[in-house]
Amino acid sequence: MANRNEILKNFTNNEKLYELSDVSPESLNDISFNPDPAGDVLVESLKKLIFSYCKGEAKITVIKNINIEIEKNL
Amino acid sequence: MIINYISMLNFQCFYGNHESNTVAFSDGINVIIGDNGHGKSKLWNAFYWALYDQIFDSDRERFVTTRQSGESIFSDRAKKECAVEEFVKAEIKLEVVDSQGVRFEIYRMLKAKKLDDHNWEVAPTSSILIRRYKVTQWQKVNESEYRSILERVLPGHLKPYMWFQGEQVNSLMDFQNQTSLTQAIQLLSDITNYDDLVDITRDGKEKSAKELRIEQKRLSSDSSKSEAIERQVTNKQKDLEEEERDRESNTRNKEEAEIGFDGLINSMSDAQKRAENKANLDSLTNKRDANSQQLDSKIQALNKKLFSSHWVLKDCEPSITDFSGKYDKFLEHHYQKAALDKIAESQLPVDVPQPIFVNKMLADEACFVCGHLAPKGSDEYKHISGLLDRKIQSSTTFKNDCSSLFKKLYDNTTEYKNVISGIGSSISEEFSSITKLRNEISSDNKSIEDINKSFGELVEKDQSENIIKEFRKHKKNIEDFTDAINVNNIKINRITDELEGLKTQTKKLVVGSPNKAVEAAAEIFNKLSVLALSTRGLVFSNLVKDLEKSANDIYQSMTERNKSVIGRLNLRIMDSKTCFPEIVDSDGNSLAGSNDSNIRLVKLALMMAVLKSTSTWSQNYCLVSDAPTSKMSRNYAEGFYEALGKNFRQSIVITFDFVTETKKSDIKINNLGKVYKLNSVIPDGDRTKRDDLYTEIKELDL
Amino acid sequence: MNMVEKKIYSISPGYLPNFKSMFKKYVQFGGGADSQRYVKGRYFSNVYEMYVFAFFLGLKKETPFEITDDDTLVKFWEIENWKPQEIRDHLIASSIARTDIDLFSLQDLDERELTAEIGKLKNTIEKYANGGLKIIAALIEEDPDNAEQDTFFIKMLS
Repeated sequence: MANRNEILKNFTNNEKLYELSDVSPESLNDISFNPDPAGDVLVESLKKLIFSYCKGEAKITVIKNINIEIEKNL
Repeated sequence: MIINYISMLNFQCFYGNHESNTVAFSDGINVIIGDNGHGKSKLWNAFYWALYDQIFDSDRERFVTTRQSGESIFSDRAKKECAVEEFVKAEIKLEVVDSQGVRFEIYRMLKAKKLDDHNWEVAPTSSILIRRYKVTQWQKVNESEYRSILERVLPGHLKPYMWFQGEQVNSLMDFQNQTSLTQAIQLLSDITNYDDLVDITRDGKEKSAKELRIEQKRLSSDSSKSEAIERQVTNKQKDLEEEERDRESNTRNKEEAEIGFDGLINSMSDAQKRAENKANLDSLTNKRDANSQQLDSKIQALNKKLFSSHWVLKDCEPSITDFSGKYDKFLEHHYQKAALDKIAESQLPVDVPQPIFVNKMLADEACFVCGHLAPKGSDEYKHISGLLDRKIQSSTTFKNDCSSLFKKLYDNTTEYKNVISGIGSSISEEFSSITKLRNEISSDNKSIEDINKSFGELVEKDQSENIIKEFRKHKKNIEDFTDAINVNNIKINRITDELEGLKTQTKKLVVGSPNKAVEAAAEIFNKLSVLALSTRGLVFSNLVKDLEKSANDIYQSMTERNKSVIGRLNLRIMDSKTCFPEIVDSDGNSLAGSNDSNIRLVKLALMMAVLKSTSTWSQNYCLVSDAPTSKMSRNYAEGFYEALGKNFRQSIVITFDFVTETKKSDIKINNLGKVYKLNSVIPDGDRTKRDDLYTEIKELDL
Repeated sequence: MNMVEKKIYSISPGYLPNFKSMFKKYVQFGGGADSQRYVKGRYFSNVYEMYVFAFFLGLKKETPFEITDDDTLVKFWEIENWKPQEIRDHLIASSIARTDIDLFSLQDLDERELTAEIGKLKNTIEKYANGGLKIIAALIEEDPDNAEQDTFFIKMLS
């Protein structure tokens, strides 16, 4: 079973996330799997991707869940 | 799981009951010693048969099932003692304990009926029974759980690396095969999770991009044009993928050629000359690369200097001088007028003194203000008379006073006079600097070529024709593949550019607002895809770094006793997905001539490091190895055992060498578990009478 | 800012449509890092930069290209947005120098008259800029390979 916290940590430690999102480097450390209605859409989508994947959901379901998350954040 | 004991009943060379054929294990390194033909491989078979219902057939040189092995499962002596029409049984009991401390007993049994002295009716399959120790007693486990329990004893993906024979190490960690280590990393780490995430996000990106194109087509003001663009996009994407695949392949080939080249260089006999050349080569290469980078920066910034260094103003002095002239004229007129205004402001009002008094002063030929006489025809008289001719001066402020605007222009252009006059030399200097860098790079390239030629000559001087051919081939391949990669890059940039252009064209055709969710999805999935790929690369790179460190720590501890051992493991990442191991010296040069023992040790260190990369494995599973240190000198072997004991909670090593009865005190291994000696015994000593053979298992007290 | 200043800074000069492809080739539309601009062979960050370059080229080579009322020019940004300021000031000063315009009398003109005078200034800018663009176009046609060189524009300064 994939460790979702470890996977999320590896993503938030990647400077690329800071480049691509609107999140400040400091607040990247505070990111957790708790949903954040005011969160950056890229970060929330990333969380959904990892969460859904680690639950063992099928690829198409993971993609669907991310799409729902994106629409929620519009 | 950790192994508590194994016991055999009439299994191959282990004649007799369980009590006389029990091997118990503790934490640490458990060693089973025996000369060849004294039962070591049969013990290995015992483990295998208990868990996998297979044994190794030395005639066929592969693992075979119970059905295929037939009566060879049974002890020859037990078969001999069995009466016709009676049954002989072979059994293995294996007790294991999982990470939660739960004990399991795995019991496998096979029966055969003796038909006559040479023929047996063997049961088609063995039977298995698993019990779990619960609270105070053993309880039968439900058959539906058997598979998962057996899998948990040693998970399938760990098996090749934790239960292996010495001669398998070379193929498990084949340094000639790039995929060997990469495969191990894939199997034994969680890198596949990141591969999955890359795959998912790439899929999401393709789907959302497609959806966006459909949306744009729907809103397109010219649907046939949109279709045409869509077709072009599809074709260009295919071209891009092909080009990227090509580049990947060229990159891999170039890296392989470089490895081959380095290997040959390092195998040259004139070590001093080689070292000198290498040092020069490194220094020249670094200098050339630094200069190249600087040159690239200068060239990239060159056109920017048109504005940042004001080069665009070169030779504009004449027009600025003309402007200055115009400005001077403007100023003159402007201040003249301003002065007039001032004079006008300071004059007497037109009606002071009133004309009646002026006429009186003229009639009296005297000024009433100062009292002086003003005779007719005198200047004073004329001045008083002039007062009658005064007109009303209107106030003259400018509608649009431009003095500050033109002053600003004048000041700003004057300020840059010196700068502009120096632009010519500034440009010359920059070009000189660029030319100088180009020349240096060219000269360094020539020197590098000369050194490479010298390498070639050294190789040719003392190597065989084949090696020389090999050397030249690698050199040419490096050049050819470098060129090919450059061509790939140019094409990829061009196609990417064209795709951007097509995207822009599509966007321009859109009338109205595309669905925000569709647009957002395309953007987000694109970013997720980039992020997943980047993170995968980082995780892989960190994994390899940690692995390299861990393997080197293990290798160092293995070779502590052997001062002649040099070298360390270097893991070269290639194309961010594969990883190639090599042994290098302290300068990073490949130690192509390392002896077999050295290489075997490095491979074992690497295997252990891979197994340790997830901390629970080395604590929760037993490493079982048959003859891992065969062909190794004593020092190497002891180093291996030392590292094994330090890094694994439990291991079982089956070997022919380790200790002799007389040299017990030679053992310097910490964390030693139980040590057994296997001895084949034939009661009357006639080694041709294998029917009477049994194996003695003796625990050694060390 | 008075009306003269306002009108000068609102000048939005243009270029002849046949130079459109040249701008497309050499200008990095939409911003981007220097290195990104460079690898795509874009030597100017925006249209006005190339336009300014062309103006000073036409001025230096004394090759104004007369723009008539019948010419439909492609317009872009007003001068007040052009940067850096010192180069913009030089452009305005040089244009004033080459325009038949009485600086002093500008100050007392009414709006209609001012528009006409400033129009002359605009015309000066356009004729030198388009003259410069013509030179560049000719060089490209003469030697298309040379037009791809990093030093293509710099060499025109000599």
